[in-house]
Amino acid sequence: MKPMLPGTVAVTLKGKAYPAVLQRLHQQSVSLHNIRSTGEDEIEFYIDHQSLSSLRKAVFKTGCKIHLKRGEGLVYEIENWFKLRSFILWMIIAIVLVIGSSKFLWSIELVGATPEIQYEVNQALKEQGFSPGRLKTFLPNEEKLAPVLYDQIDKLSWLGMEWQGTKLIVHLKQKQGKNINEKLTPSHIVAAKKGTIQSMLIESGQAVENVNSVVKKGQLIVTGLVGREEEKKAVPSKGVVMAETWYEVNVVIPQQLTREALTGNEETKTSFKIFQWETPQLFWKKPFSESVEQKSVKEYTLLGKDLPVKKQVTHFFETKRSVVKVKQAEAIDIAKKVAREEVAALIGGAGKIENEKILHQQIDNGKVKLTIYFQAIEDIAEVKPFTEETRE
Amino acid sequence: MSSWLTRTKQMIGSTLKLPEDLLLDLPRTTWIGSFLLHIENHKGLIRVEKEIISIKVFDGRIIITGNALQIQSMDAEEMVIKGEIDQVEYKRQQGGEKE
Repeated sequence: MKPMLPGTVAVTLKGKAYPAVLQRLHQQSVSLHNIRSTGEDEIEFYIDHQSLSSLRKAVFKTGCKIHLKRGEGLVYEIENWFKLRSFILWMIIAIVLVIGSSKFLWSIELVGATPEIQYEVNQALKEQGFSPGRLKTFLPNEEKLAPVLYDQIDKLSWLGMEWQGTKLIVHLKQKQGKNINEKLTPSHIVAAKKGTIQSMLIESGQAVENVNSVVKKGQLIVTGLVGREEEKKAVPSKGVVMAETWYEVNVVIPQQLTREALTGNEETKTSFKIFQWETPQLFWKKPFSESVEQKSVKEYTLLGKDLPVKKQVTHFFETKRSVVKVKQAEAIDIAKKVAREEVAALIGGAGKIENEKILHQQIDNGKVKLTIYFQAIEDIAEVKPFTEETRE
Repeated sequence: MSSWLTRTKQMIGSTLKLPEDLLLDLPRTTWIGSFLLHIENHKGLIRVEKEIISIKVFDGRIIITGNALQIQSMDAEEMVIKGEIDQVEYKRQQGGEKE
């Protein structure tokens, strides 16, 4: 029947020969529980449901009558579950669960815009109560939610909500271009470097210096105080001031250059890392006398968690070192190039080098030393905010 | 079990100094308070009533009298009796008597 599951049956045994029945049961080593007499020549006891067949054999031809009462235990419980009425009940419970769970929000997906905006939107959504496990009906709809989010996140230009079952997809669009509403504080423009002003393009503010005037570092070029002397207004200054600036660059280039080049030979070594301990590699030595190492670590994950075991592959690329002698003219060319790059980094994107001149040249210990003079044109405008009270 | 076999077993037991209950299948009774009686090596039930329970053992029967008696569990070898037990009587089997 159901041999593994426990379950007992209450049995009432009636008849004069009940001791004989008990004797037979005992001989078959059937265990009984709670034997008690319930009347004259009548006893009641509990028997395992597996032993019911031996009970029937024991009662055979003794003239006793047995009456089985309802059983207890897991077998009968399970039997109960599969009865039609309870089956229907379970069915209804299951349907209710499925329908009920579809009324909840289970996941949110953000599509579009930059990760920063997505993060902000995510935070704002959480504030509005959009977190997994909430009832859909109590969440604000798009018309209510969108204005709040537009208010909170400046760079968000549009958002659209789309329900896919229990999943909410929020489409985002970010604002393009500069933020117009950015508030500028009143400011002057001062010189960032010493130089001669070549041209000025002032959008707002009033110029103090003229073209061709020499300015020192920190000198006022454009003032943010506009208007007549009595009623001056503070405005944010804005403009481009192109000025001629000068640089002196010292460069030292050795005439003997050592170069490392890859030969194309490659060896790999694989080891495993358990926590901090790395598996040792016996009988292994470096394959090349000169090489470049490149390590790549592969991490293993199990159910979204990092395992402490990592696979580490080390690539060895053979390199060859070679010494190259450079002629003097070539060395000077290299030095000029280096110096130019240095100056270009100093003057920024808008600037350009106008003129260059080697001031000093010296060959010493196989090294070429150069002092180069550069004339450059760059934007020296530096915005310096001031408060209206101090006017500085 | 025939009497000569019993006697031989008893003799072996006494010479080897073994406990007799192991050799002879004798019952062992533990009476806890007045409410619980534990019987090992029984041979079956003879009578079950509220006031009296009699149990067959190797060489006779044990008669338990009391009030509201019931057998909590019965296995092939063990039996636990619950209730208000007043008296436990050991009736050895007489020569011609049977069960």
